[in-house]
Amino acid sequence: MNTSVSRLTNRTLTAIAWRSFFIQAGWNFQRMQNLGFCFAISPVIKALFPEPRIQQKAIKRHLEFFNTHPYSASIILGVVAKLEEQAAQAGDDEAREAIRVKIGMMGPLAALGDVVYWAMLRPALALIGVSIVLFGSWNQFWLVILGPICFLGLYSIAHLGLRIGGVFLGYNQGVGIVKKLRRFNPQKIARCLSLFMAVMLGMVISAYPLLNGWRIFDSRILGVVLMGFLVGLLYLGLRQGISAAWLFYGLVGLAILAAYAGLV
Amino acid sequence: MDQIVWLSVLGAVLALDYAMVGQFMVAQPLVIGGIFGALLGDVPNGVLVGALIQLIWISIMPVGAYVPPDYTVTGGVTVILTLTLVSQYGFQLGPSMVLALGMSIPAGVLSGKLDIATRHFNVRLDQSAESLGSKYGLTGIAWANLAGLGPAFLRNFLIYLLWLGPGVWLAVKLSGSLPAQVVKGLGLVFWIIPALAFSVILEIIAKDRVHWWMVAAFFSVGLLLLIWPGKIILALTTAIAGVMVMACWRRK
Repeated sequence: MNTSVSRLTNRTLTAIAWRSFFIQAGWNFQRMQNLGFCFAISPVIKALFPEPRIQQKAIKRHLEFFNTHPYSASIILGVVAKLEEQAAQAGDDEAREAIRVKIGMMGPLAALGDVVYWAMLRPALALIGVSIVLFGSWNQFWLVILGPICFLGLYSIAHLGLRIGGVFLGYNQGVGIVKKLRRFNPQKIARCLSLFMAVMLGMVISAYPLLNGWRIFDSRILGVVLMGFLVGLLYLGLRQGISAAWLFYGLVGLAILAAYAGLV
Repeated sequence: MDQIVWLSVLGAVLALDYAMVGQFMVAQPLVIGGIFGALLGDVPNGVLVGALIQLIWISIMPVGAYVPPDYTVTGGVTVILTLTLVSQYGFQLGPSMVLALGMSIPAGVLSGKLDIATRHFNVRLDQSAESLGSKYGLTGIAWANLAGLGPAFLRNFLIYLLWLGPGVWLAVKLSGSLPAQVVKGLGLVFWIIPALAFSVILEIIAKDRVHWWMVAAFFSVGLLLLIWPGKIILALTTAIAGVMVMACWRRK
């Protein structure tokens, strides 16, 4: 046991959390986030391995292939910092365990980030923000800016909590966090958020035409029916693999034709 | 011209948030609409335009090695073009937004294509990282990683500049010469853009087979709003949806 090696400080862990925001800066098609990971773990290498020869070895092992979700990478960074610290204290300059755990964790944590953050949380919170803008009388300044503030505020709590807290959690729990993560069910979170979006979507589809005064043959109900019909039709288009951009251009073409035909 | 350059610099810096730095979501159209709206003196319309674009591409994010078109650039360019047409030239909001969006979609597609090229360029940074590391230590690694931001910034700066420079001129010319029926058609699309956006969200939730909840909410909210069109119903429905999430989470 090498007692001259000090424990990593909170300052070092904070530096990792800050640097983890740049994990995708050097993203490349060869080893993906390897540059970003090595950059983020640098404060640990600097603190634990002052000798240049050993520092070089550490740099080299952290330049290997790495790819995960940019948010959940912070947990891996925390765990790797702990394992590097333990290896340095044991006088082991290979730290094979750190690399093994790093490789083992990146896949499952990528799935967690993609399913929970990208696929569900971001769209769900954006839907809340947009609903506030669409239905909050958009000529009223404070109601309008509440939409983006609400989206950004709620999302920031969710992702910064994981990204900053994840480094400290990973460091304090070490490999033990793997067991805890196994109990965590991202599919369940995704399903609950999906349920939320379903209710919100049903609400906005009927509220948008009613609150914006859509009338077909002077009927408000027919306005809602038209909106439902349009949503269904465009959904079928998306299901056929037509992108939203092409559907937009198609709508423009049809609307201009309708205007020329005197239908609007 | 100075204003276009500064807006392009800001747009390119904010666009880094999309996939390269932070991913704090400040580049999302809903947020960027407010930022550009504040700079151009029309926050409500900036946020509204941003919100509509946000909805259309609500589910698009770069995942792993998949690099989609960059619709944050489309959003930024659309907001600037729309607000310029509305506030400086007095055109109507709806047709201006649809015209600007139609012109800006290729900017996002181009940015996505060039993003792939810059990620290929970054392979060179990766290849030189080990030698930089052995020569300059950890500083060399920092340089290799952060150097990836340069091409990304330049790419988006040039796209903004290209679309805002000749783009504003072209948009003004087009808006001033379009036949009345075309303007009418573009105005109609402005009102039905949310339908496209809602279908995109429907595609997300359809995978989880929760669409019956959507149908239930559609009929119940619609019925309540027909009886009494108060916005409090929307706040209550959102609260009920929140409670349902909690109940779903507690269920084993």
